[in-house]
Amino acid sequence: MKRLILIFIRNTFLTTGITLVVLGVVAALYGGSSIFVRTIFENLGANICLHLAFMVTRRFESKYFLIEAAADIAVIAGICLLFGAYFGWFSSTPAGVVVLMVVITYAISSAFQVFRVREDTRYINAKLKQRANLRREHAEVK
Amino acid sequence: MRIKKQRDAKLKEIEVLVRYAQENGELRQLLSIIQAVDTRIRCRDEYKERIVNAADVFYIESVDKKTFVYLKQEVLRADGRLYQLKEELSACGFVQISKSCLININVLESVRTLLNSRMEATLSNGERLFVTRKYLADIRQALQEDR
Repeated sequence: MKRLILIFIRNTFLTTGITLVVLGVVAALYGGSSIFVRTIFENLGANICLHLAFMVTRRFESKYFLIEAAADIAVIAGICLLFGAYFGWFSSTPAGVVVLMVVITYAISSAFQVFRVREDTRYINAKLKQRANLRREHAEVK
Repeated sequence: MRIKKQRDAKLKEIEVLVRYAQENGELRQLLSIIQAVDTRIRCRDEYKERIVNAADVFYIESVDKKTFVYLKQEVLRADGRLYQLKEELSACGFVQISKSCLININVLESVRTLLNSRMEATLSNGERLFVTRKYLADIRQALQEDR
C-alpha cells in the first residue's frame, strides 16, 4: 500500500512537471512571459484527478497498446476539458491546444515509461540468468 | 551447498532442516522451492479430482471466472479464485503478471519488450505469456528478494 501511495505521488508530480514545461513552451509560442501561481495548483489538481482516474481505468487491460493509449488520452482529455471549463482555461488557450498539450504530455510520459520498462526488463533477465547459473552449478555438483 | 540425506524409519513425513550462516537469495530460492513441493493445489480434470504440487505448476490463468492450472503438458481446472491462489502461493514463488495470470517464477526463463510496448514472458517449456507493465514491478520485487 505504501509503495502504491509513493508511486502515485511520484507519478502525479512527474506529470505535473511535464505539463508545466509543455504549458511554458506553448505559452512562449503564444508570446506569453509568465504563468499564474493558481495555474500551477490547478494543474496539480488536474493531475491528481487524472492519476485517481487511472487507478480505475487501468483495471481494464487490453492486449493492444493503441486501445490502452486511446482510452488513456480520452480520460486525460475529458478531465482537462472539465477542469478547463471550470477554471476558465479556454479564455486564454483554445480547447484544441489544451488537447494537443495532453497528447504531447502523454507522449513524453510514455517515453519515460518505456525507459523504465526496459530497465526493469534488463534487471529481471539478469536476475533470471543468475538463478539459472546457480541451478546449473548445483546440478553439476550433484 | 552440501546436501545430506538421512533415513529415519520412525518419521511419518519428510523433515527438512536447512542450516545456514546468513540469510541470502540462494536460501530464499531454496525455501520457496521446498515450500512449492509441499504446497498442494486441489484441481480436477475432466473425470476426477486431482491434487498437484505447486512446484509442478507453470502458470495459473483465470478465464471467464474459471481458474485453470497449467502443468508442463496438461491443463486442469482449480477450485479457488485467482486472488485466493495468489495469496496461497506467493510464498512458493508465484507472482502475478497480468490481471488474469499468475506464473511460477521458478519456471520463468526471460522477459522481453515487444515493439508495441507490450511485454512477453517465456517459460522453461517455451510457452509465452503476455505481461502487463503494471505487474512488471512485482516480478522485479520477487526477484529482488534473491539478494
